[in-house]
Amino acid sequence: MKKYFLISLASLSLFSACTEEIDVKLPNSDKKLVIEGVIENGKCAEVIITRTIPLFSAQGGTTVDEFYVIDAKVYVSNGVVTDTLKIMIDSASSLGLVYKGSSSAIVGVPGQTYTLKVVASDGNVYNATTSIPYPVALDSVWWKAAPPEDTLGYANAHLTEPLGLGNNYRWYAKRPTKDRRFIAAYGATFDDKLIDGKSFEFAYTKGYDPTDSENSAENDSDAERYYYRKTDTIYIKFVSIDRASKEFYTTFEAALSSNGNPFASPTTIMGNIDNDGLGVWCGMGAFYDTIMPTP
Amino acid sequence: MKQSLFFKLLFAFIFFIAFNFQTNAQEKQKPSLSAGRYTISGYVKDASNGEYSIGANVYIKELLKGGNTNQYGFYSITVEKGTYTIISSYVGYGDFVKEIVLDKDIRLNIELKPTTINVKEVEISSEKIDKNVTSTAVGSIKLDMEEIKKLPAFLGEVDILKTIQLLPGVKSSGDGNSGFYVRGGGPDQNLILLDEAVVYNASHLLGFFSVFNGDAVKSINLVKGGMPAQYGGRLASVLDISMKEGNNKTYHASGGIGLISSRLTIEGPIKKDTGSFIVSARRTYLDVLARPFAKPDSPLKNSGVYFYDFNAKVNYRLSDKDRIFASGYFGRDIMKFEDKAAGFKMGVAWGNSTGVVRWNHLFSNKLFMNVSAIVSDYQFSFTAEQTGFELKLFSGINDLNGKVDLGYFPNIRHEVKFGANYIFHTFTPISATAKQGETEFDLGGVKKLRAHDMAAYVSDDFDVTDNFKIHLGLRYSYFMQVGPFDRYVKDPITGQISSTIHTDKNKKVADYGGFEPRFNARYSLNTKSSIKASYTYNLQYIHLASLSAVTLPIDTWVPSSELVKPQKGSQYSLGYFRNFKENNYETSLEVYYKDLKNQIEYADGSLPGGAVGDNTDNQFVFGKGEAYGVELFIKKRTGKFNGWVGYTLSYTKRTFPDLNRGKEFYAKYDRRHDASVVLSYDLNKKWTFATIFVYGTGNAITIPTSYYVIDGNITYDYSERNAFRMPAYHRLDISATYTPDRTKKIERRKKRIITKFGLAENVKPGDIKIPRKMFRNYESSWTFSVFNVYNRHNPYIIYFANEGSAIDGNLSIKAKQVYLFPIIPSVTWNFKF
Repeated sequence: MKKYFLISLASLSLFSACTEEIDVKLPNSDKKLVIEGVIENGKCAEVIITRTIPLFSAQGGTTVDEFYVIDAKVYVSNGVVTDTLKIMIDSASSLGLVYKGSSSAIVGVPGQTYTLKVVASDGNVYNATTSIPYPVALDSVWWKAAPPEDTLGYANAHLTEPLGLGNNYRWYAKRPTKDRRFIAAYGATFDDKLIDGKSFEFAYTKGYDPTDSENSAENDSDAERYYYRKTDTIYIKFVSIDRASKEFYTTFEAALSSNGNPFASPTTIMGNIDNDGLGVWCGMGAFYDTIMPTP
Repeated sequence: MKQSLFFKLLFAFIFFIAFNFQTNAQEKQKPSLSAGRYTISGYVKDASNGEYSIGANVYIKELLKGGNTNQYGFYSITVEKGTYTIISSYVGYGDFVKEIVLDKDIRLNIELKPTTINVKEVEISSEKIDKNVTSTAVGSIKLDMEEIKKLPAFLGEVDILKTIQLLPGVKSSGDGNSGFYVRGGGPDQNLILLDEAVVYNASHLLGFFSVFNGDAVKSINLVKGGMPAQYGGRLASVLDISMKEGNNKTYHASGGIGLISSRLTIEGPIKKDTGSFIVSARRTYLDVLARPFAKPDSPLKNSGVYFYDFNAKVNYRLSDKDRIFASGYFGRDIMKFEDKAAGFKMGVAWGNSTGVVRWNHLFSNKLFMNVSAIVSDYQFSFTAEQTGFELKLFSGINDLNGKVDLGYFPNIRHEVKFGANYIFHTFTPISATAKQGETEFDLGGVKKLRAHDMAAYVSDDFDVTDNFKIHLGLRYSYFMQVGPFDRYVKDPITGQISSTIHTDKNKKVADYGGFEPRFNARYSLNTKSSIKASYTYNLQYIHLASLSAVTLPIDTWVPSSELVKPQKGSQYSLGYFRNFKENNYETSLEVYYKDLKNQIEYADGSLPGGAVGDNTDNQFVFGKGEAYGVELFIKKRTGKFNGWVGYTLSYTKRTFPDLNRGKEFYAKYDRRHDASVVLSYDLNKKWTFATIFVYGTGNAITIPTSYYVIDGNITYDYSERNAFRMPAYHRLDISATYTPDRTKKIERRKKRIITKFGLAENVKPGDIKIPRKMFRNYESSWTFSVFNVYNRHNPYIIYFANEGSAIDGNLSIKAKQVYLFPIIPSVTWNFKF
């Protein structure tokens, strides 16, 4: 969790002086399909499909539009019913263009397994399977000051972890008036390997949404980059995920923290899409709670 | 059971022989059993300080045969009765020549006088047997500290590990890495010994310096191929470093004051010619120097990086037949960082300690024994604190080691070595404790791993004919991991620990063993050239896998277990050795091929700390490797102008079913070309100049080739494993050492005093007497050096940084390199008295 951050920070502080830009001739790479699909309890499936872009493809800048795959055929099945997802605009999603299922066909149910099938325009077929674990409720959530500050702080929670190994969690939060979507915090994914059956308190700093230009690092005041204000209303979304999804998100988070860290070796992100597809098809058993402004 | 029987037999054998010779020795005065043969034996020492000379030549001129002194300076030659000329030679020393009438066993302790290196050329006896051509050692190089000290040193710190990286077949892992790679082997495949004690992490300050203090080291021997049977436990190489014993004639102090570090060594006799001691210490003080310049509220104020280390050794001659040695090393690296504003604090500490007690005993003039008791220890710890969250990480390895080595010299054609070794390893794989406020997290506790590691060997250096010499060796090694141990068995579907298999204390967890044959042969074509060949098979039972792109002190050693099989390596090498101009020039051309099995890497997707609360080896994947190459070496040994040129062409490949989709890939340290030029020139008594040039193909690394977006974040997709080459590494260093002439200086001072006090009429300079005793041995020198003369920015690491943002349409990704050392001039003042 925090330790990777600390180690990289320490290492960086040692040698930041001698860094310079260089020209690199990259080995060739194929374009790959990237799938980011979620099915949550009580909700329809949502799938974002994009492509990889060569690293130095646009020296003058690359926009999100270059990623989109809008002509794929996307199917979700619960073993009985198969739903064909339709592409639509959704400003509350990370990239704005999402393939969505219809609520009349399939709605996520904890304990059920779902398969995803994506047929790309070039004829390649990508499959993945996930299941929705039963949601685990947080006992309580509250705001807590980060000393020496008294108006800035963390989102805190108390969890009584169900006995029995094999639970995996991810933490999201959203300030209804300030964020356009639920944002995963730094190190949001964890499992119960070390906390199985325990009752304990934990805290998360505020996550950061790189796609929200209103709220990007430059626009955020320093104070609000990592902290919540005492006056913030915070929606908490605490999801239970299966093992493959957890593998994906932990390696994804490690990869993010190793990007730009000269000491880290590349972290391979372990996805669950077949046929060399990148990304994840993730079932989420979500529990929601709200931190009200602290008086 | 087979193993224990083997060991019982072996010990029985050793003690039988030892006892036998004890008896023989007592009957020494009686006529020798093998009628007409007598033994000349003894020790070879440096006349100036009584230090034993390791690997000095002792031979009989008439027969052009002889041997080398062993690690303790002992030699023994048995030949027919007769009159002979005994010659002993050693680089940097004048030859010892003595005619002897050998009609009884003779003890001859030889003292070699050092030639003043800066002035005179070393005398060469015309018929000198030259080791380069005549020894069976293929792929083995010995260096003396004097030789190393002349070379340009980074920031004035003489560094053994950096020097051996200038030899062909030995590759540096780049600036900031003391780790080295020998003939395509990993950094964990080098056995690094300091006075027989294993040093597990040979670097200080993340590799800027090595742990070996040049002032405390006598000599180093590097074996990169044809490993003799007395060594084992690693696949690639042995770096055997011997500490100085200390001057046993007079007291001396020496040291140096440099820009970032200082060192001091004191040595002297405990009892003249009988026992001596040496103590040596170093510390870097960059942290202390930087602190006053830090702003009061800056994190620098409470942060710093430094290291210190101590070496100490005593030796005492109990009798003509018995000597004891005790030596030790202790070193620590400390890294502190505190940002009070952010409420963040961390500390990192790591280091080695070793302790060795040795007893040398001569059973007879033909049988030498050394018994050693050794402790080696390496510890790493990391603590961090932020906003009530406290984390401690630690790891380490500790060895208790007992060793018996015997050397038997039955006649001039044979040198037999045999011995046994037992090590008890205690491993602490990365363990952690953490708490948030009052809540303690269960991070699985500290799970130490334990193992027995033993070996026995016998070898013979055998002159089959005058031209043909072989080294035949056989080693048997056995390794057993023992309890208490918990094996976490994982459910293949959920990935969760489904059951725990507990092994009780001292009960077997897993064991392995095997024979390791070693074979070297030399065929002399004539007195100037020879062909050498070797085959060695090695087993390695302990392993180091690294997650990071650079070698870091956090990498931990793990034992062979049910999952981790011992690494196996076979090496074949062939070399042509030729000396020119009366042995002034040594040249060699060697080719090698290596076949490696059971190599270890972390599985894809492994995370640092992922082994906390789990078995470290659950994260490993296994594969095989091969390495081959050609090495060329040309060395001018003597004269005012000397040095060497080395070149290596090599290939290093790995194949892992679970990595890179099972496709073969180049190892990180695969290096197509590696060249070094080392030259030094003694202009006169005052000035010595030296220069180093190195060139090496860049490391093979994995880099991102494209990117994509997950949850709004830019994420990289990587190339095939190690498909990218970093830019080549090259660098030029120069240095000049100025040694003021004391005599002239004193004369000048005397004249100045005479002039100043107007004594010219009454006093002559010769009338002023300086207490010679005080100043006789005083020497000082200034070393000026420039590291990286043409300011090459050699990449330490390459990484990629995103600039702009995808959402704003101005995203661009840039490749960046971190380089550690620009051009760095330095000056160091060294003294000795």
